[in-house]
Amino acid sequence: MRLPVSSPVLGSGITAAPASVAGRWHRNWRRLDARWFQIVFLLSFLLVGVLARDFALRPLQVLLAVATAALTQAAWQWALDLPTKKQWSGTLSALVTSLGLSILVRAQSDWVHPLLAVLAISSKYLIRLGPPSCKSHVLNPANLAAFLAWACIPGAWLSPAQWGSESLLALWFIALGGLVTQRIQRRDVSLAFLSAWGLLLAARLLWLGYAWDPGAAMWLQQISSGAVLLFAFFMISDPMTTPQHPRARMAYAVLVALAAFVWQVLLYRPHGLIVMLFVCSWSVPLWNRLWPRARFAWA
Amino acid sequence: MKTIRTLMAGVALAALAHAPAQAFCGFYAGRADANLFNEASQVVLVRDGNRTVLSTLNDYKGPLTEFALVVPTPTTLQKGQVRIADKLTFERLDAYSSPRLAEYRDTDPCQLNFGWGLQPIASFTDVQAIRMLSGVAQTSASNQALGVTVEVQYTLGEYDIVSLSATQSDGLETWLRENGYSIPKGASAALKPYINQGMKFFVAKVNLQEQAKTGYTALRPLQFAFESEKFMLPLRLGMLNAPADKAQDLIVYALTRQGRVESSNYRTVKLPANQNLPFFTKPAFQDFYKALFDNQAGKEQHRVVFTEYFWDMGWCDPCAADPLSAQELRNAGVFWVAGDADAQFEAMRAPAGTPVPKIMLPPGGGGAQPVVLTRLHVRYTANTFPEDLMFSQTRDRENWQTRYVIQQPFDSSPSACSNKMAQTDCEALCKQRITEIPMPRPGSYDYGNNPYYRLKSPAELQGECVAACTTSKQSALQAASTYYQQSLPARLQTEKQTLADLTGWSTARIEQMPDARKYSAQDNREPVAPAQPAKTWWERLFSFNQLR
Repeated sequence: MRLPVSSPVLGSGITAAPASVAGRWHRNWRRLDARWFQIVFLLSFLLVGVLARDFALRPLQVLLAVATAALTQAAWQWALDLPTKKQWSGTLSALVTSLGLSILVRAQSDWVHPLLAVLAISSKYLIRLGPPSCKSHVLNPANLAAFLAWACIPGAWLSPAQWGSESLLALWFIALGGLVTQRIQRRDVSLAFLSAWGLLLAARLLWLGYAWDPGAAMWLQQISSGAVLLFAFFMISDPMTTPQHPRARMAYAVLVALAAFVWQVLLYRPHGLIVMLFVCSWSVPLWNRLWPRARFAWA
Repeated sequence: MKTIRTLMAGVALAALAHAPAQAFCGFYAGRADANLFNEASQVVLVRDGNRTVLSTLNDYKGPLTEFALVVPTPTTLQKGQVRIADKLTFERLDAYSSPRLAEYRDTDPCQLNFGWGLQPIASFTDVQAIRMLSGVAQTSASNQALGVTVEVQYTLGEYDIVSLSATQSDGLETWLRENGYSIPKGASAALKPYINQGMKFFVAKVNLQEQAKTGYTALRPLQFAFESEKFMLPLRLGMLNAPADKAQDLIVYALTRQGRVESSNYRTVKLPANQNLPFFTKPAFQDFYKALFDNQAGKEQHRVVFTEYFWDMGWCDPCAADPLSAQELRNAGVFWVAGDADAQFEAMRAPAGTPVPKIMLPPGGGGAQPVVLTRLHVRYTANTFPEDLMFSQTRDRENWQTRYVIQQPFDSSPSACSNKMAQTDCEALCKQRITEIPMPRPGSYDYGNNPYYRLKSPAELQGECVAACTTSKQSALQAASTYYQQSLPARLQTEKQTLADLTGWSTARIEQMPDARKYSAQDNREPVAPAQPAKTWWERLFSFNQLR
């Protein structure tokens, strides 16, 4: 296909020679908001979960979560008269949040998902901390929603084991997650977290004295859990709620892994990843003060 | 007409009845209890906060001298924390929560819905009761060198019990063997991680003299009460004797206060349930459920935990057995059923031999118990369950059960319907019916409820009535014909397919089951209207036309 020269989509000064079509495609690809990819992948995970992993989730719950998240986002943007109020950017975030919380939270009634969507989106505007150069919301909205569902919402719960540990599914997650994080340049967090988490689990199995069999199978079972991979690639990799400095970010990912390990594996408490990300998030403004960097902005 | 509409509503209700949330209005027709699964271990796991009461039932069948029970426990179990439990508790929980078969019956399609001259009658019952089929459920120095410390030692019932802590797994294995516990080779490798986690060991063997005194042939279950954050079952230790790919069955009855229990490290899956099966599955329901479970466990490659039942213990619908009474729940270890949970739990840890205190219930039985039962069924192999089974309690309170439905066909045929209709004398019926029509009293303007009839002569009324009666006969014959030749065979075909899908049975195997071909289409090709009796009512129809 011949693409128009100097189109607003393509940017200016690009020659229409056939040899550079791939290059142009690549540039377009890089320019597209990464959240579009997140949405596509989260949606596909949701479908896989509901259709093949018998998630106890009703379509109405997802629809209500999406609708209330989008409305809440718009309401805040207009109420605060933000320059972005007439853009679709906020809606994308709302969609990512509502899909994420639908994947994570289970509830008996239909009001839990929309309520969590309202709370999660509102938290972005109500809970903001950090140095002036990168003041931002503190909590990843889907993480907050999952935490609240576990901690205090009646009739709501988390079912992290429902993904199972089948390795094929795990590979699928890694491939897609890798793509998304490459797009938003936060794969360092995902990899640092996964490495730390995997090492900690392996170290514990070694220390407990497990032989290769069943030790290796146990490690695989723990590390390839869908919930762990989803967390690594779609939650802790949120560029808005992790430290902005690359090295601080790596250290932060290791801290979350360590905290979750202590909570869940050593103390036998539930939902270590969700709970400890929620706890550690509060330290991010401090990390940003100690190692300042300009705040991330979506494409 | 209204009768027909009510009938349609009735049919629609019956069709909806297999939806999970639908209140049950059929009748319990059978169940598939835990005895079905050979070598299934059964565990009652009572949990609230970090308080746990665990009861285990051994189906051990070998020589008693060979029996050894080694349970890793989070803390050292003192004398009062272990009791002999009642096997009856397991039987009651099993009976209450077994997969069940519910039965509905079709009504006779051959019915003379002859309402001419009468006020419509609104009452119509689609579902008829049948009686319950199934009855009751079948239903020292050297120790130091080995690194082993005997914390507590006593005899409880038929068991010699020791609570140990250990520092070396080799030492523990040697100690156990030296002290007469028959444990498999290589046990030390499996024991090591538990020792390193700081866990203690509850060890029991059978005291033959005491065992003889009890008078029981089988070993009685043991019940442990302890506090720990760990909500898990040490599954791996039981795999020592089995080949790595040999499947074992475990049934867990989890009793909680808040909601459904699921595994936190394996997928928890509901079995396909609430489906309609062919009527002839009824005598083979146990075979059916066994095949279904084999098939589903195979499909999931023995990697999942199946939910078989989850229900508020206050009631059941349909009841495979009555819900457990407050005293039975208390025996099962549910420490919060009557009043102060803290005191009740402490009572469970009172010195051994203290009988379980009788509980006082308020007048009226104390109402519904805040207890929910989750029945989990795991078929695992050493390869597919590399980790011990861990649990978490959800806030899900939506009752769910493995229930299957059969809809019994009405046992008749189109020809039987023809005969029945032939024996119905419309002329005689109408003579009677006409006298029942409310007629105006002489000298009154009250025409009763049916002013339509007031201006007609008796002959006209008789003619109309016979015509209506004849039409009713035709529709009865038509209904019977449609039922036996179309709807019933089609329904059976669908139900057979469901049976094949659920169990993995072949069509040929299903067709060979007793009564499997009973109502199939080709066996029902009988004339809609048999020759002889038909004549009479056609004749009557024509004679009626001539009359007009």
